[in-house]
Amino acid sequence: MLFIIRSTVSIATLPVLTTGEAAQDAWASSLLVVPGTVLIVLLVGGLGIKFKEMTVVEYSAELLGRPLGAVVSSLFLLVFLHFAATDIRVYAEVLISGFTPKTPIPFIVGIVIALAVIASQLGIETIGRMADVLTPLFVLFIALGILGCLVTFDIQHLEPVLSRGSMPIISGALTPTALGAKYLTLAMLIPNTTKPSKALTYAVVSVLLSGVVLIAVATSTVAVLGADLSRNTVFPFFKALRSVRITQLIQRIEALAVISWGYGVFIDVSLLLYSGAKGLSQLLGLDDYRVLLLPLAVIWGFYTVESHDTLLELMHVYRPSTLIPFVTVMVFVPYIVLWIAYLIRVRRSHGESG
Amino acid sequence: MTRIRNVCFRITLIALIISITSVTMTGCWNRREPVGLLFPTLLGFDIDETGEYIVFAQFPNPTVASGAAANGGGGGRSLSFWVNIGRGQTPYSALKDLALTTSRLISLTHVTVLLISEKLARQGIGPIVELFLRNHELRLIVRTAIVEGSITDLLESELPLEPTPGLGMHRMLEFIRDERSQIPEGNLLEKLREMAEPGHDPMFMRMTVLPAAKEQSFTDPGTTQGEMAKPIVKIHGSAVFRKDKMVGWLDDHESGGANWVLGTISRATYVVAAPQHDCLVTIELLQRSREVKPLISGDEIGVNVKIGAVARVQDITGRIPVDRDDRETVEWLTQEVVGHIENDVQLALSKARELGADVFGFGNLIYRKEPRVWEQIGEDRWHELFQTLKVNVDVEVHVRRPGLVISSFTPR
Repeated sequence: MLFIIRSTVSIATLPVLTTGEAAQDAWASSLLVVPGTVLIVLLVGGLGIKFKEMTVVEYSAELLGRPLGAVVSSLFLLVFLHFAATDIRVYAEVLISGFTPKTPIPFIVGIVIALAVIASQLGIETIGRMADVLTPLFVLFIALGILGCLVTFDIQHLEPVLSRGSMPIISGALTPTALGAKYLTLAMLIPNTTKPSKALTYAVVSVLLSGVVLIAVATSTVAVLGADLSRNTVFPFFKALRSVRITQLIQRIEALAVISWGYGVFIDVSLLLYSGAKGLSQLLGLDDYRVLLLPLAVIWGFYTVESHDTLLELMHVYRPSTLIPFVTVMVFVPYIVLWIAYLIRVRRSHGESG
Repeated sequence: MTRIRNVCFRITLIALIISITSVTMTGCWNRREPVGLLFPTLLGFDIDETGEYIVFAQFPNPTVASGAAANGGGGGRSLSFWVNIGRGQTPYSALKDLALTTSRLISLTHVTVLLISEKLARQGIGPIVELFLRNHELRLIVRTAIVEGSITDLLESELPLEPTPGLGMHRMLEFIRDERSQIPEGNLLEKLREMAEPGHDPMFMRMTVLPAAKEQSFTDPGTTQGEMAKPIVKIHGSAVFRKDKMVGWLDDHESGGANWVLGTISRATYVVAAPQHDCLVTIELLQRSREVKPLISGDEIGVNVKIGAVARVQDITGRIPVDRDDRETVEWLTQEVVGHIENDVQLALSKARELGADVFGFGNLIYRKEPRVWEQIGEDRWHELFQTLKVNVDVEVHVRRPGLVISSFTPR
């Protein structure tokens, strides 16, 4: 589940190419994204496994007290909303830009959210099982897409290798690493896992596997489109697959990317909606999160449609100058505060016992 | 029992999701029936004196193509294709102008050939490239050629043996490279990549409209319909570009020379004169290898080009024994062929220097392999340096096969 939501980012806007100066060295930026994301997983999941029976909303209240805990939890709920809204909107934009220009955005958004509501209503286990069913197809379609790219794969486009120093590579890694903040959902998942102590290991494995997907997709996109066209394209992997003609019969393989993207968005939004509803229900002291699903879905739908007027505005969300301050304020700083509170508490309890 | 219920539930859920997604995600919001659509297979772009873009779209006629009305009901002949012309201040507005005179909705999803007039190419193909990059229906896999002569004459005449000239030209552009490698590789994506690379200028296919195109125009009442059709177009040589503007033509030999260096020759034919036997020998060559390496020594920059090919004898107009014991003849043939290839490469090099376009991508080679040297040279200075660049060409040919006979046929 975590693998699929993380990899969807790679095949969507391919920020490793489009947000920085990495160009032909996008594969190196992708390599750099992996340790960065592992750190985020350790930040979020590391605290999560200290409170195996609690979600982040519950242990925030426990560590910081109810009022401050509620403020921190609200920030996290807004992060779920923001990520879900941008993911759905980007998916809607690729369908409208690439296939169905007359389809109204609310229609696509409504369908995706309706599916997510059905999945969330059935519970986290259902979402997990759906991810189990869809992951092999997701991997198969992306692998077929990458194989298709081999027809026009030109390794010369990956040269010169690492010739411009480290800054372009770091610039390409910033946004995809910051998008690792999606692992915040791990903080809502741990209490639902059968083996909470192993959740962290599985999350790190998902980062490594999605890193492989990211490297493969970034490399094949640059090798097909060339560095210059890739970084100037809104949906580079989609454009690369559209520019591949294997035989007269086998072409238009961009459908593979869009189908796997659709699977990813479905799992991604379902999990974010579940996390949002569950967190809000705990914040409000409700017994069941399900009563919140429909009202939340309506609010999220409106937010998705109304939050960005244009595609260019939407792309701005992925700029490091926008995304990094956002995740720093909304995720990193609150988590550092939570960690400090936890460490003070551990020290105190050691002091008391000592 | 619970297990069966779980399996049923799972199957129902998967079926539900597949149904919802397949109904809602696969089609357009509005109805677009194939019957109401027209799919041009070929687009041609030209520009007039006032700077207005002219677009030529060639549509297959589905009713005739399927044979339903091949000869029309009233004795008149229905054509299997239709050409419509639109005009506009920009390429896209010219395309939209087509809609005013077309009875169905135009879908550009099946365009496979892009023709650009010499005039427009010399003015700059940037606006056409923009259209192909931005539009969601047009794809970069279109075969692209620069047309020498009138696009109108070309599109308003029938291509022999081809019910739909657009598809026929696509086949021509695709297969002709296997037959005669003098023309450059190329779909639009490859050309755009070359344009975007530092130190590389692209070559496009050159398409010459033959006089028969005008004579066989279906719009002219005095056409040669019913008579044996003549070829209307010839694909040969290349159009050379600097940035997005065409700067000149390469003939067959120059274009072939450039392709030897680029390593894109699949099959080339040379006629070698044998004055000692008073005859000609036709040799067919297949390129087996190509290696281009930068040669940096102090301030001097050069390039080493190694070309490898295998040859077979296709015909001899006199009597030459190409025997396994006759090493001298084979050696002589090899040297002759090497000389021809080297000559073509030199011709290509001189013409490229004359046009100021690095069609070989030597600059790109230095950018890729020696980025620090490239930085010192500077992208702006490359074309100046290209004029005096030292290029060493080393050609290795093996005459491997004499064909299916050893010695020439001897009538008695």
